[in-house]
Amino acid sequence: MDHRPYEDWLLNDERLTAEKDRDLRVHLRNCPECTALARANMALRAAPATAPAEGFALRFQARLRAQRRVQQGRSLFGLFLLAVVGAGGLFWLLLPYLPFLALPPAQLAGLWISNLVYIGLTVRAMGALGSSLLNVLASLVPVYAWALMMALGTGMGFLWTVSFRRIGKFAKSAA
Amino acid sequence: MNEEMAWITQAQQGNDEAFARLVEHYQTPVFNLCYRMLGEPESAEDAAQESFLRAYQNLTRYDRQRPFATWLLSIAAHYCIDRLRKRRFLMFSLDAEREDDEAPLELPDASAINPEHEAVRREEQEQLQVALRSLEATDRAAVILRYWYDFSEIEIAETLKLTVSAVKSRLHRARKAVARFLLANTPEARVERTPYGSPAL
Repeated sequence: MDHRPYEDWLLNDERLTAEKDRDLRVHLRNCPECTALARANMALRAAPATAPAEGFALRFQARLRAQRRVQQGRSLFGLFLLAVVGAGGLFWLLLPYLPFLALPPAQLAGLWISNLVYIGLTVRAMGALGSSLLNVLASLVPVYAWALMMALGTGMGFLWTVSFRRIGKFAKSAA
Repeated sequence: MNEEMAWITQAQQGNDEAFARLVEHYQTPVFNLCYRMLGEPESAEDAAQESFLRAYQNLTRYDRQRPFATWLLSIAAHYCIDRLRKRRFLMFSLDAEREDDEAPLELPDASAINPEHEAVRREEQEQLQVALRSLEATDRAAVILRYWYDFSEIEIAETLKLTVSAVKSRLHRARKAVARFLLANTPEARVERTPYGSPAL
């Protein structure tokens, strides 16, 4: 049996004219499938809303309080764990320097100053090494190769963005 | 500012009383959604409570341009969909065993006068609940939002994060499935399926 357009009317919840309504009723007399569809529509519309048992809001407040207690407990435990780990880590870091605390203050200050000078010199040497490496690299790689690499990088980035968006749209429409 | 917005503002500022008022106001719509999604009052109670808890925790993210009911029902719908997906494989085997001795849904109606009519109505509601349970989780959510909450297709799409055409096709598919279920479970259909050809037997 041809269900069109009656099935579409029922599925689209169309507001029918008197003529269409009459046609539909005639069709429904002879079509069990469309009758079932109309019945499904009516049953769904007539279904009542089910209310929860009395005291739902009170039970929610109790659950909220319990949840808060759990969260507070977790926060406290997290803080305690962090403090223990932090103190342990600090102790572990300071352990090699503890013997120095026994040194006289003037000797300790001299040691700190020499350490700072050493760090400064290291940073400066690293900077010089980096800049000379860059100069060598720049002279070895021609300008067009740099341009090509830049263009490739931009192209790959563009392709990645477009693919990501398309896959996202496809996934959304498939859902 | 209306009363609901005032409650939301107060709740966002940490006033639990204001949120409790929102819970009281929306408990039936949220519970009903969870009940229709999950099919059991105990699970529905737990899911509704959890939905309110999530709403409470994310209240600062609520966009005032959207109706609060839509936002709240969206949280509940997504929670129920996730829950159904998690227990899908377990339910598959359990449902097959439980099908025959399914506990009937009790929906007492104090205003019912005609017991026969009430029995028919209750049976239809039970069938509808079983039919809903046979739908895929997102289809079920779309049907519930459409028929119990009068959501438009656009609102359903926003709530379930789908396209409008996807909502339309899901609603069509779901309603056809419900219709097929009801058709297969009408008394006439059952009579036709009896092996002896007589309703008395």
